[in-house]
Amino acid sequence: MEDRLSSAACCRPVDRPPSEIFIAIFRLLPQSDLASAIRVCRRWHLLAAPILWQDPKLFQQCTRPVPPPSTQPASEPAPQPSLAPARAPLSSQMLLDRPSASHSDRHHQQQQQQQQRNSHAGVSNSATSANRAGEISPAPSMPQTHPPPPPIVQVIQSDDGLLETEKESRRIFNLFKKKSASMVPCQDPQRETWHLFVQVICGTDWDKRPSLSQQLISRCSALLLRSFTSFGGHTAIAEQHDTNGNQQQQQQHRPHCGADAVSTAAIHAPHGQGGHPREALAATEKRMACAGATSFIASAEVPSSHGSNRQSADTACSSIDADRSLNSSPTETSLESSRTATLPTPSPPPLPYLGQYSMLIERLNLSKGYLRVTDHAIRQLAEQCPSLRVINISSCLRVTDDALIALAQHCPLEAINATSCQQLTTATTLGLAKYARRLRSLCLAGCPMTVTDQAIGALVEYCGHNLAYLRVGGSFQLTDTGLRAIAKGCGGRLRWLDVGQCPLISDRGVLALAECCPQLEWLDLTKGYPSQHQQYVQQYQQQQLRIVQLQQQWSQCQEPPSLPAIPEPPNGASIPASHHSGPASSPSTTAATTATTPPPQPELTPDVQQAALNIAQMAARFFASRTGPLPVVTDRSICKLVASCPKLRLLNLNGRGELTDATLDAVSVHCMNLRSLTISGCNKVTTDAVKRLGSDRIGWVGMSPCPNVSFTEVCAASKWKVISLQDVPKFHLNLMNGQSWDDVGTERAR
Amino acid sequence: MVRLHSSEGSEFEVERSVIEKSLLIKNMLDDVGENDAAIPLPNVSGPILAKVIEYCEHHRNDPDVDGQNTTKPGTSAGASSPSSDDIDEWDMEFCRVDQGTLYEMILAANYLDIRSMLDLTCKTVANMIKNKSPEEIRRTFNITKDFTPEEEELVRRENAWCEDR
Repeated sequence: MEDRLSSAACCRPVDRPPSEIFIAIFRLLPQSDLASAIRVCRRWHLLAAPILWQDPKLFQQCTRPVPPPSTQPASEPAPQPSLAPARAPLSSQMLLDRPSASHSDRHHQQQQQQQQRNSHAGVSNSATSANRAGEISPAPSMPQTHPPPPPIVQVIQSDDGLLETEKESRRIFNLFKKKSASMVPCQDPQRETWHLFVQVICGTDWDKRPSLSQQLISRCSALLLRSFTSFGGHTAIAEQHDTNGNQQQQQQHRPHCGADAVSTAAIHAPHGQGGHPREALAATEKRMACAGATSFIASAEVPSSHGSNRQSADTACSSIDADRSLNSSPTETSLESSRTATLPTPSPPPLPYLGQYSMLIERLNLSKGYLRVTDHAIRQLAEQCPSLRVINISSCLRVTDDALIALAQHCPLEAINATSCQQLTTATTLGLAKYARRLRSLCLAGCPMTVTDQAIGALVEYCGHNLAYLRVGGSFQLTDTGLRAIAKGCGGRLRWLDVGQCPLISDRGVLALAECCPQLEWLDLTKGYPSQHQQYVQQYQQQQLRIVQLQQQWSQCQEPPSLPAIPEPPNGASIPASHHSGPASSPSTTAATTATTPPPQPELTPDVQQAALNIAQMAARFFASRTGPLPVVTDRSICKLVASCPKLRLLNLNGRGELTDATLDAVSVHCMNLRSLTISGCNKVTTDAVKRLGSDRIGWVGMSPCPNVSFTEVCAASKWKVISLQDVPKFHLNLMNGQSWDDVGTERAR
Repeated sequence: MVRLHSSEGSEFEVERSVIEKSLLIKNMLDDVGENDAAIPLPNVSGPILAKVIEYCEHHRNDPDVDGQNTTKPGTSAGASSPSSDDIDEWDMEFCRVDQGTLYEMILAANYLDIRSMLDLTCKTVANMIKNKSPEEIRRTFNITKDFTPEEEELVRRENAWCEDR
């Protein structure tokens, strides 16, 4: 054991203490010292600033009761400390959005208040702020409340000004609310983004916790505003596309106008960072994952597209483009370099501000990232999201061991879904064993290189005390030894287990499960065959196909004018197609796309190709070296299993041709909670046994093909009916109360 | 007695009740049951492990703290803010080590999941940060300033409102 772990350790850079330790230390510091700490270096800034801002005492300051709107207190220059933070980082660069105008220019406004207090939302103001956009607004040197405000800081701020800020914050908040309420799901990705962005900052239930949201907003509204204008701004542009082309023009040009570039970069920086988390929060909106990943890679990859042909990009794309020009660093390999890469050297933009909010990000869905989510991206997460608990990187083909281990090292991960990340190897498993001790749910299906008996043994030995959901389907190297280790290591905590398509599983392993894991609810024992390494290649080809589709959509969104015809309303034409249909595009969309443009040659990166080939070769070698028949799972062990696992809700025995009616009878006797049973390919099972199962309890029996079972007879005798293949996934999801491996271990973990 | 192997292979023997301050080891022992096998601690070097054991020995009779010493943001625990002043004398002396060792001790306490020791070591570091200017902090911990002048200015301005004046 020691050897295994230390070998995993020595090849990792363990050069820096985990963020959580820093956070623990910073939490011990009083405000004044925190303020010093954030000025020490970038990392300290990232980690300490949110703590500073989260200080409840500061919140109390900001949310202290607003004085009643006294009519004319403006002459009285009373020190007004409490709202300072809200305006602290001045959003000098708000140019287009109305709220920004009134807010960022509050200084300016205060002087003008008498004249135009009620018209602050007008276009005229936007113009004002646009004029001032480049200039850095005066340092908001506001006092804090605890020590009585020193006399220096008599910044002229009337109660009116204070009130204005309060009102503004509230207005923004309501704007958020209104925007998100009027959001049509998936019709307008920008709006969706907007909504989800708020969720990122305030949590999913932000609209039900107005106090929290308002605190945050009044506390950070300038920043917030600045950040979200990069989202909302585009929305605004899209809406005003016809009438306000001028402003749009400005927006388009801003990244190139010298000193302004820096501040604009600040606008866009959070976008890249904040683009993805929104997905996580809308867990059901899978298709949006594509959009998130899109902006993510844009910020993480794409080396050399510095500012070229940016003007041609349409509005929705411009944010992505800005990200690109921002992070022009190539993907690097070491943690060190990724740290510096966060803020590339040529004309470095200010710190990415969502980096500070990223402190609050706990869940992240980057699924279907395919080629676009890179190691570099994952490392950035490790750097910047010290609270990350749940991450889904399924089908992110380029993620490698190093990145995931870095993530595990720096984030308190509880759930990882790395389905089909084919480049992962046993080093990941060992790294997780070493660092991810809070791991509760782990999906490694389709990463057959990650699972060997030893690796999984180490994993459950170190993480087994939390692990309740484990998916290692398709791991051809897993044998009974590994399965026994899982059973022993996780014991009664194990609830969901997928060891499907593991050809070397036999009775011994299943008996160990029966013995140690009485709480099992979900068990996949699909039979696996050595020849399945061919299937890996097939899967890989399917992935290629999907990537081709994605690339088409991606290229469409880059060159909107050359589009033949997007099946979208004209208004939507400005929005990249990939945002709409995502990777799991409906068949009709796909058909339309492929019909209009011939699919370009797939351009998989060599590493991804190599990973798939490695798997196929490894499997071939592995089974070539084996002799003798494959082990089988028989009635004996399954009967024992169902007898000792009364909570089973799903049992998948697909392809287990050795099973007979005895298994089914045992199921009908013992599994009182079973909702789904799959016995496809169980050739010895007969109609009578299926009838005895009882259709009342079990909602689904998968039995195609079962040559000895007559569908008509079964249906005649029970409430079951035959459903078509396309309906199966949905039906099944309903049956399982909407739970699937995608979110397992995350909701319930809370 | 429990046998522990440090990273370089030296062996330590310690009473079970003592070392159970470490939740990691406690959990391990609970899982394994009665077993003579030594526990490998690949992340902890011998000198550090000795420190850890020293700590556990001294605090063996302390009541189990809840471990919730740190205030979570958002909870209204703002009134009883976490403080790093209440370190008793023995602990203070215990932490009088060079920075490298202290740092290793934090990592070890974190790894072994010894809550009170982690708190103690973190407090020690926090005390080293306290009442220092950013520049002094950088010198203390030998940190390179990686801000560009623009960034630094921005950060400074951004937080001007809570600066100690």
